[in-house]
Amino acid sequence: MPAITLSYTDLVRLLKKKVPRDQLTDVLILNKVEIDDASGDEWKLDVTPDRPDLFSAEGIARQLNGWLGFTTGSPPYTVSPPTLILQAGRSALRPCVAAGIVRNVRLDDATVRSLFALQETLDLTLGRGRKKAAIGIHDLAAIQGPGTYKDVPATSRFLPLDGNEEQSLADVLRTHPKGKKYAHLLSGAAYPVFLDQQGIISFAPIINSARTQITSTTTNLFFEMQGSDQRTLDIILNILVTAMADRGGQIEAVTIISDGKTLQKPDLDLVPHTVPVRDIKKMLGIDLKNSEIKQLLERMRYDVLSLGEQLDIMAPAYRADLLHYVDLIEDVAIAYGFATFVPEIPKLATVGSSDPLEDLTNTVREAMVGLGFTETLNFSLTSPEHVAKAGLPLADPITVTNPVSLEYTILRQHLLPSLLGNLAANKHRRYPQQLFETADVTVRDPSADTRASSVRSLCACLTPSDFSGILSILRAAAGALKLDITLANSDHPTFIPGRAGTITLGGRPAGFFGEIHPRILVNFGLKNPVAAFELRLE
Amino acid sequence: MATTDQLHPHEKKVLLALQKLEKATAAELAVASGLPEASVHKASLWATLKGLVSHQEATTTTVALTPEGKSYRTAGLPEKRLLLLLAQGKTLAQLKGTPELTIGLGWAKKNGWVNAKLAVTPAGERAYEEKTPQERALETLKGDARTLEELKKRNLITLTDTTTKTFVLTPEGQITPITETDAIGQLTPDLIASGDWKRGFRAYDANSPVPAVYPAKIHPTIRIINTVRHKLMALGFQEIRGPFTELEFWNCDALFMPHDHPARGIHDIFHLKLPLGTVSNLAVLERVSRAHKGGIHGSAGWGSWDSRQTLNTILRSHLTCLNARTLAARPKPPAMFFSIGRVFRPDVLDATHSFEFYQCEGIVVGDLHFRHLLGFLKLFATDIAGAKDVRFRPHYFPFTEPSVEMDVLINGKWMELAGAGIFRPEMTQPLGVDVPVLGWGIGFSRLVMITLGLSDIRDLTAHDLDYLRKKPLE
Repeated sequence: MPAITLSYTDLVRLLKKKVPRDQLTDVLILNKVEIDDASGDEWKLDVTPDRPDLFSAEGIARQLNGWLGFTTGSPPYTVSPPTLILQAGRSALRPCVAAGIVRNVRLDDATVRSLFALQETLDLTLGRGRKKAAIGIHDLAAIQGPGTYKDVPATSRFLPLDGNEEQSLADVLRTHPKGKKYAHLLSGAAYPVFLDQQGIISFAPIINSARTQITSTTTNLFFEMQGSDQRTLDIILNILVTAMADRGGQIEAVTIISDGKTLQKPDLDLVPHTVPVRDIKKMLGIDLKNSEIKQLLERMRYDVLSLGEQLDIMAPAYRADLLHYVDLIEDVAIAYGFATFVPEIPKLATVGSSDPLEDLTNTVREAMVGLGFTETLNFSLTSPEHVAKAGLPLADPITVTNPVSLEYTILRQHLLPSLLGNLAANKHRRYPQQLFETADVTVRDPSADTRASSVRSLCACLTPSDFSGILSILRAAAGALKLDITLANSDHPTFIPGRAGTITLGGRPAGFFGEIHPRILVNFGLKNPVAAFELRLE
Repeated sequence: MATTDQLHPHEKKVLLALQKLEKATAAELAVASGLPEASVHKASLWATLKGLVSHQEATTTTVALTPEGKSYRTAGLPEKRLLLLLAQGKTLAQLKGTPELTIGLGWAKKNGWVNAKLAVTPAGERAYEEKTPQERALETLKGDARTLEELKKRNLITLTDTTTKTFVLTPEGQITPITETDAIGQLTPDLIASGDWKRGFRAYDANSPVPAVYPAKIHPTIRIINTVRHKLMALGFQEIRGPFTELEFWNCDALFMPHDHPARGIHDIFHLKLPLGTVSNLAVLERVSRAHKGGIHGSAGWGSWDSRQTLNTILRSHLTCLNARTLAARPKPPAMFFSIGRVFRPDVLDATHSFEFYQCEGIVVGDLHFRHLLGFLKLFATDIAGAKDVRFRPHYFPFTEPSVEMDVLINGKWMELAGAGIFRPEMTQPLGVDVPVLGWGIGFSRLVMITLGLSDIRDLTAHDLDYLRKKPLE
């Protein structure tokens, strides 16, 4: 979940009425905001990723003002007519653009911190690390319109924010910290920029110019954003400008001319939705009057236009998560209060049952414990080195392409290396030691839909012991489990020559057994003779 | 007070020997009793536990000569030889490089045998006649502590401490009557057959020390899995199962997770090097892709679909994929399913994170609503986790709406235990299911940790035999 930081004092300032500190945290968790640390003034919170409009103090305050009933219905935002024109040219890599203006914002410390934190969180989440969308915020006073968005040559120069001198775009990618961090987004193929009459104001997904930087005297803000998905850009713009409007700013449209078409952004028109009343009641299991549903929705900052079998609802333009009317039904539930619902256990006539392989596995456990073996559990991921240590041939292992450690790079095909590892880890414990594991191994299977299959297996290790010792155990286990096995002598690199064999189950090769070769024992630092078998149960 | 009946024959022999010797070492007792020394040790330990014998420990130091020490014993200490050579008229220049000078001069100075000008002093003259303490100690292997320590530092001798136990009878041991009887210790087939057992048995001490043994066991984590399985089956849930490997289709797309969803990236899912897989149910594949592109059941969808990515094989990151597969088989409502199994996420292993852990998930298919979902969750919390109280919070999962998380109060602390919700129409409709489906998942590894009182997630796959052997069956 996205983590955000906000100032408690700032949040309280944005609430319409006083709320005791303790009550505030209780209310937050009922509104998709989790508390990480609310001990000092700097609150660390986690917000669910579907609600990017709650990624800042302004959005959370707007939600709570509604939920607590201080101001309900859709927040009234007005958009002034445009004064700035932006010509959007073609950019192959990042073809979509949005822009907007907010005037007369008092940019005190708290506001600036909140704005930049929100920008960063949106870049990371909705923007997918600037890949899908990247945001630039500028001092409007430094911008001389009309503006342009287009790809320019790599040799174009400007003074980047936090830079020392004018640089070419290619150099920015090579030397500027942000350039190095985000160069992969452009892969050297294109250099999209926003320009005003004086030059580059933003090297689009990388870094703004120093010229248009926000300072303590800035009062008018210019927002630009570009990327690969228009819907994402529009939502991000709406979230940013409404947050600043909640601080007292006046939103102003920007004219965007693209492909000969003229648009105005931001578009804060309310978005219509309809919800069947019957579905609300049926899904939530609560009987509500239409007027109650209306109040609940208004507390979630919706406007409800009509009350019939279908509710006509107008949703604020900063909501990114409304795909289907079930999303509105959840909001009815949130307004109703998750703590208010009375849990009910339904009476259903269903019959429980177990999976036959899990039953078999438990029978196997019973047999092995009866034979004096203690069960261990090991990871399904291992490494070729560990398998080689056990002398097992590694036939085309299934490899993880993004492992977190060199010890865990492939799926295990056998359990034996894990159990030998267990014996090695227990050298200081009392002998004799008898261990078993029964778990799934994973093998390639071209006929399976995932091209791999899990196979339930059993492996047992006995030390100190020998060939006949493990043979007794294998026969006892197979007998107890009514497994129709046949055994044959067959040399195997893990075992002493002449003291190893294969196991056939129901006519198919299913495993091996024998007395572990001293070379393998030395690999694991084991000083006592070990005998083992491994058997695929499926 | 121990009776003579409770004494092992070896104990009796040791006690009788001690009565004669008053105090003796194990070696002496072995000679006197005719027992091997190991048996004397065991028997005296038993007798000690019965309060009949006590022992004193004495440490003796053994002195041995090093090869250098041996040579000095024969040839004399270098400082002494230096005096002799000087007396013979040798000059220091002539002695350059000899041990008499390099080693001897320092000690000769220290002993005051030569002065600062390196002339032999009166004390040096006298030293010809008498033996120094060091010389005496080298000859006799005895001496005061300071001398021995000096010789040890000079690497001429080694000092070894040996502790000897001397056993004595306690006052109780002295008054305990000991009679050697022919009472039976080990009952044998011969004794049973001959009837010779009638001569009587030696009594054994209920508190005598015996070797510790432990039962072989099913792993504690598996025991809890089975307990939970049985509880869920008793509630009417059917168990389902699947492989560790899964298609992105079932793990993500069928759950309406957009193809660029952060939880599908390399930081949240293990990707495998395998050929592209297949989705055999083409109708489901088509409807799922339509739900994503936008156009099922009035949903806006995500506006995008990746027909290649969906066929990648990954390690399942949850068990919801099994629920999707089960729903695609269109079970007849009402129906309830659960699974417990391993899931995988690319986290670096530490006390609170593991790349491989257990989850427990399930679904309820039927004409049900949100309060029923909360009812099930509360039931799990109290019946399975033993929680004292529960608390529900709104949450987000890509495939459920409404979504809820449940915190439970266990041992006076609130902790997150389960996530749940009603499956979205964008998930159920493409799978061909037209009734509500309640989905839930329990952080099973956390539940096991609570139950077993563990604070480190790595202990869930503990294989320390000491822990496994001694862990009681709870």
